This record gives sequence, structure tokens and C-alpha cells, in this order.
Amino acid sequence: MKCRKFSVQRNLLLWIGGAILLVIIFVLVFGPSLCTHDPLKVDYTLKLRAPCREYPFGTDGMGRSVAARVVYGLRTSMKIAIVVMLISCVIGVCVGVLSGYVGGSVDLILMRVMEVVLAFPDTILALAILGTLGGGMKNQIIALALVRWTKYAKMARDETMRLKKEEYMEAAVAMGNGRFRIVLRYVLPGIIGQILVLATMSIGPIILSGATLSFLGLGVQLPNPELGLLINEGRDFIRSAGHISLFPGLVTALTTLGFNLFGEGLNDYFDPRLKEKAVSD
Amino acid sequence: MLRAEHVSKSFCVGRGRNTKIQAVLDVSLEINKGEHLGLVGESGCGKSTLARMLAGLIRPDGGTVLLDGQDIQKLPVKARKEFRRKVQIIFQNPQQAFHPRMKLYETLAEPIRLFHLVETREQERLMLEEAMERMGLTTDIFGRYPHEISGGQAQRIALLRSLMLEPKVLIADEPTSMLDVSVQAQILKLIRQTTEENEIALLLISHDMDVIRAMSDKVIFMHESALNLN
Amino acid sequence: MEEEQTRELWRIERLQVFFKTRGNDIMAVNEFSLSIYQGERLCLLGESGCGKSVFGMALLKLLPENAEVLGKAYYKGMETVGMSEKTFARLRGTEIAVIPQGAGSSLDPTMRCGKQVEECLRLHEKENSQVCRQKVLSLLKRLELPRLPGIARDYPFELSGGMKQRILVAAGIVCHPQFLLVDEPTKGLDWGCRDKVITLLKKLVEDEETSVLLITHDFNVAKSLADRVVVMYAGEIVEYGMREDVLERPVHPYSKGLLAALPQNGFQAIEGFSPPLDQIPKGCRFHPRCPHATGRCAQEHPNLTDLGEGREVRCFYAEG
Repeated sequence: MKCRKFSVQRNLLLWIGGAILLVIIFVLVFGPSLCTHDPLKVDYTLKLRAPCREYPFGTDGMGRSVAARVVYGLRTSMKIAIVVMLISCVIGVCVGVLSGYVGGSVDLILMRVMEVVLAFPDTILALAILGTLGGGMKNQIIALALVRWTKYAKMARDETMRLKKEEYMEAAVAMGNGRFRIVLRYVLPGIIGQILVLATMSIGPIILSGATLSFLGLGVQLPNPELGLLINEGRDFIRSAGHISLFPGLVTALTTLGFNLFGEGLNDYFDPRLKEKAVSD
Repeated sequence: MLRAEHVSKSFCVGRGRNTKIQAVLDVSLEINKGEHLGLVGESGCGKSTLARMLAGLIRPDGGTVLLDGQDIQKLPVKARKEFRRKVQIIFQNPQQAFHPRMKLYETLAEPIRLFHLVETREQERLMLEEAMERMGLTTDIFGRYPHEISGGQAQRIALLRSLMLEPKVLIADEPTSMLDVSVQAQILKLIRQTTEENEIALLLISHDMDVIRAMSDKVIFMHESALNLN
Repeated sequence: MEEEQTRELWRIERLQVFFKTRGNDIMAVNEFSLSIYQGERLCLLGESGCGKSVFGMALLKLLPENAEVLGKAYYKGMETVGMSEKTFARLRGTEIAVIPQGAGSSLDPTMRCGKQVEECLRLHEKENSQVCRQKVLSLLKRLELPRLPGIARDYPFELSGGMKQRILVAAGIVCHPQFLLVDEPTKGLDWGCRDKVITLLKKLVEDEETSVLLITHDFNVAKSLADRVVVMYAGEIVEYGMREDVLERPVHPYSKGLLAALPQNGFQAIEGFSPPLDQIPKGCRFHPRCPHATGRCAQEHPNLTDLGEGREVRCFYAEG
């Protein structure tokens, strides 16, 4: 007798993370129409207001609504994060699966390249790339993707090598499947769960490093709002009007938390060891 | 038809891969059309390695495997696919021979789609339903996953999947050692029946002398990586 | 016979095991009544999926949480089904031991083999490590493991399947238990190893006078180890009795079929599959596959019929 049971109901992390993500998605979709204020409109008469009914997050040094800027900032940050995630995921998975499946000298070369990238701390490498390419959102995305693909590559390679040892891979070869078809039909479905987890978990760190780069002035350029940039803007008023930095910071933290919790939950969901063991005999 | 000439294979194992074990050493054998050949030996004597070399799944260190006089390692891509069709192998643990996340219908349809055996999806389904009936299986397991069926059913499906390609040679590597006695009898009977009907050459590998005795016309004993012919 | 009754180690009365699943409750073991006597080797024979391991695990209270056990089981007069986990755990460590199935996965891959055996001993006996190690080594020697004492320092992955199984046997028996549950000791082992493990196990339990409940699907194992044999089909007992009776002159059609399916008896397979436990047929559970089934078999569920000499069979036509 075999019974398989997913304990989604008991998977609290997935639910909390999911709830936070839902709120974020709501803000991303409907945020702009909810904001009554233009995030770019400067009005010095309103500058440095504390949070009130009209401006729930207060106003910044140029009288712009922090709430509206956070909403648009979150959009920018998420846009960057998702694009970076997609690019790095595709590069990483391709490299990883190729490396793991073909093995031999291909593996050797690809892994050495990866180790070179891994040898630098993420932010330093991204800074170096941005320093060479120049600032701006496009380059920021390129820099982040070039740093982050290694995470996927490493995982995809390990998983592919694990799957390659499975008997059904051998059976698939014996069946007459070509290499490409095996990767498509057998390897990818086997690692997609892990990739999904990693992709979700990586959104948080990407937002953070994106924010770091913008904070340092190398990413998205003023006056466009971006979470890291917004935090940076509040730096000058940190003693007198802390809310300018506080709210973007909070949103950054919350978003990261949401994605991480959701990722953790997904991980538990996909982890065969945590699944209730099938009772046999 | 399928012939191995002086094949050898060794693996590096152990800490730091420094211990070399000779799995198969200078083995030659031949399987002819419609013949039932039994290969007996203790576990760890290289039976499975030999089977995988014959099926072209691993490359021998020395010697050649020939199908109808052609070296299978030197086949062009097209011919290699044809070789896969002609020489089929079924494994010891049937449940591990299927993709765990693929429904059994998909698993079974693989060979049909790979070799374009039929034109339409309806024909495909019809063909599978017919084949399932011949194997004594019901079609309600189409929608299940490999872990949801019993070992006996899984081995039948593995056999069915191989037979759909109408192979010339079937290599069965310990097909029943994971199964209960009553199921073992069913599977072996089925293998014997189908191979005899379609004149498929069978190489049956087992550690169980009784099984081999009941199944094959000719027996080869394998001992410590080499063969003793009977 | 009378004397044996007094040395009853286990008395199991109408034990039932259910699994709660999303849809409905699945009955894995149905009305299992049985006695196990001291020093006896009882073999539970059945196909995979018939509930034999579930029964063993239920007896040892090792089932997952979604299982429910009904009925009574007395160990030396103590009721164990309702017993608290803590009390039973003490019993399980000292007097009752288990050799789990799956030699490959039952050993901790990061711990040296000798250490794993020693661990069992040190949990229950307050002896210093030197004494323990000596005991373990002498036990491993009795199990005829090669390369002693070096093998005790090997990790499980360095050993073959047969050796791992012997390490498991050592871990099970090192505390001198009175009752030993052995679950499929030969699964996945090949011929030579199988014989060796069984012979060694037999020698050990004879020396130690341990009662054994052996769970297996292998006739040959049952033949060489058991005093009494219980045949199980689809969650219930279909036949039990002394080894020679059941294995050589079976009465129930299922036991007959199993015997005929052996390679040396000419592969007379029983038609069909054993039913999954959530699709148990009405009437006699074996009737869809039984060559002698009549209309009565499809309607009525037979009870165990006493044939005398400690032999019972669940079939209407047992006498004929």
C-alpha cells in the first residue's frame, strides 16, 4: 500500500510567504492607481512632512510622497529582480545541465569559469562590472545576472549528476532517446522543483544587491525611484525625518522576507525527505 | 546476431578512485536469433556490466560488441537509434526504470513517439490499450505514477515498453530478483511466451540457477569477471 | 503442548491496523490472532503488500502517525497496544529488538559499522567502551565477517549488501533480546549471501534461545529458519501450522499456489494480482484468483477452521 500526502495545510511558511507575496503583487498591480500623488512631482512647500492621512509615509526632502515613491520604487526593484532572476536562471541552468550531463572536459572548463566568478564577493564583482560598463538600470541588470548565474549552475550541475546516476536515465538511453531529448524530457522535469525554489529564494537577495548598487549610485539613476535609491535619499535626513529611509527599508525587508519564506515553504513542499513516507508492505 | 568479442571493462572505485576493479575480463559470447541464453553468476561478478555493454550503455575498455557484424560503438547516429530499437534491455528494479514524475501513459508512449510508430494520438492510445491487454494489465494504471503500482505490474510495463519496439534481442538483467515468488513466475512466463512468439533472442541474467534452468536453452556461468561456457 | 502454552511470549488478539488517508480508512491488517511462544521461530510468509510488515511494525509500535491499531497484544501478560510510548520504548530497547528491512538504508552512512553495533549496547548496558568493543568484536566474529577487526572501522558504503545485513543482525542481537523481529532479512541479497545470512541468523538465535518473528516472502528462508509458518494474504491469516505441514502439504489454495510458483516446482503462476488493500474483494479475499472458488466463496467471508495439531486454515473447503 502506498499513500502520498502533501502536507500543504501544515506548511505554514508557504502560507505566510504566499500572503506577503499576494500583498506585494497587489501593490505592484494596483499601486499606481491607488497613489493619488505623482512620485516625481516636486513641491518644496510640502517637504519633510511626517506621515499623516494625506501622505501615509510622509514626504521627502523635495515634497514628494514617500508612499508613491515606494510603490513605484518597488515596481522598479521587482522588475530588475525578476529580469535578473530569469536571465541568470537560464544561463545557470544551461551551463549547469550541460556541465553535469556531458561531463569530462566540458565540465572541467565550465566549472573553472564558475569558480573564477565565485571567487569574488558578489557585490564587489557587480561593482567592478558596473564600473566598467557604467551605471544605469540596463547595466545593473547585466551586472547582477553575471554574478548570480553561478548559483543556478552549481545546483543544476549537482542535480543533473545525481539524476544521471538514476536507473531510469539509463533506461531512457536504452529506449533510444537522443541526448537533447533526455535533457528535455528527463533531466529538466527532475530539477525544475529545485530551480523554482532557488529562483524564489534568490529574488530577495537580488532586490538587496540591486538596492545596494542603487544606494551606491551605480544602478538606477535619479530621479527614478528604486528602493535602494530611496533609502539613500533619506540618508541626509536620517535624524530629522527618519521616515524617508524607514519605509523603503521596511518594504525591502518585507519583500525579501516574503520571497524567502515562500521559497522555504516550496523547498519543504518539494523535499522528498519531508514528504510523509510511503508505507509499503 | 549479437556478439561480444573479447570485451573487458574495469572501474575505478574506493577512496580517491585509486582501486581498480576488473568487472569484465576478455569475455566473448554470441546470441542467435530466437535463442534463450541464460547467464548465471554471483552478484558482483560483472553480469550487469556485461549486460550494459551488450546494450551499448557503457563502452568497453577493450574488445567489441557487434550486432549483425557491425561494431555498435562505431555506428552513425541514425543507425545507433536503430540499434537501440533492435536491442532492448530491462532492468532489475522496474520501479526505478521509469521517470518518477511521468505518468505511466507518458512513459509507455515514449517508444511510440520516439520511433514514430503511429500517426495520431488516437492510434497511439489504441495501440497501448491493446498491448496492455496482452500483458494482462488494466488500462486504469495509465494515469498513475510509477510508485503507485506494484513491482510485478512495473516489470510488466517495462517489458511491454521494450516489446513495443519489436526488438531482435532482449536483455533481461535480473528481471525478477526484486519480486515475490508468485509474481516472479508470472513475469518469467510472460517473458518466455512473448520472446517465443516473436522469435526474440533472450539473454536472461540471474543469480538463481532454478530460474535459468527453467528459462533457457543454453547456459553460461560467469565467475569473477570471466566466463565458463556450458 | 501444555508446557508451551505456559511459556507464551506474545498473545495477540484480533489485532487490526488501519491507515487514515485522505479518502477513506484502509485496513492493512485484519483480525490477527496469534501466539508466539518462548524460544520459537515463527515465520510470517506473504507477498509484498499483504500487510506483513505492517503487522510487525504494529507489534513494535513503530507505525507512522496516521495508523490506528485496534485489538489487544500481550507481551508476557502486559498489554502493549494501549501502553504508553515511553514504557514500551524501554521494553523495545532491552527485551525486544528489531532487524529492519533494507540493509542498504538502515545503517547510518556517516558512522563506522562497529560503532553502530556498539551504540545499541551502550544505550542499554552501562559498561565501559573497552568491554563493549570487545563484545561487539566477538559478535562480529561469530557472524563470520571477514577482515576483523578492521571491518568495524569501515563505513557502511564500503561493505557489500550481505555484510551490511550481518552488521544489522549484530546490532539487533547484541543486547541479547528475548524477542527479535526480523523484517525481510534477504531482500535484495543474492543467493550465496542469502544462505549465509540465514544460516548465521539461525545459529545465533539457537545459541541465544531468542524468539523470532521472521517476516519474509521467500519460501527457502522460511524453510530453513522457521518452526511454525503463518501464511498471510491481503491483510489476513489464511493458513498456519508447523513448518513441514504448511510448506510441504499446504491446504489453502493460496499457499498451494505459492509453492507451485517456485522455479524448482515449475513456475505454475497464480493468475492475477493480489488486490491492493483499498480494493479488497467481498467474500473470501482470495476467491477471484482461486481455481476452486464457488458461489459461496464470493459471498461469504470464511473464518479460520481448526484442522487440529495447531493448524488452522481460512477456506471453506479445507478438508476436501
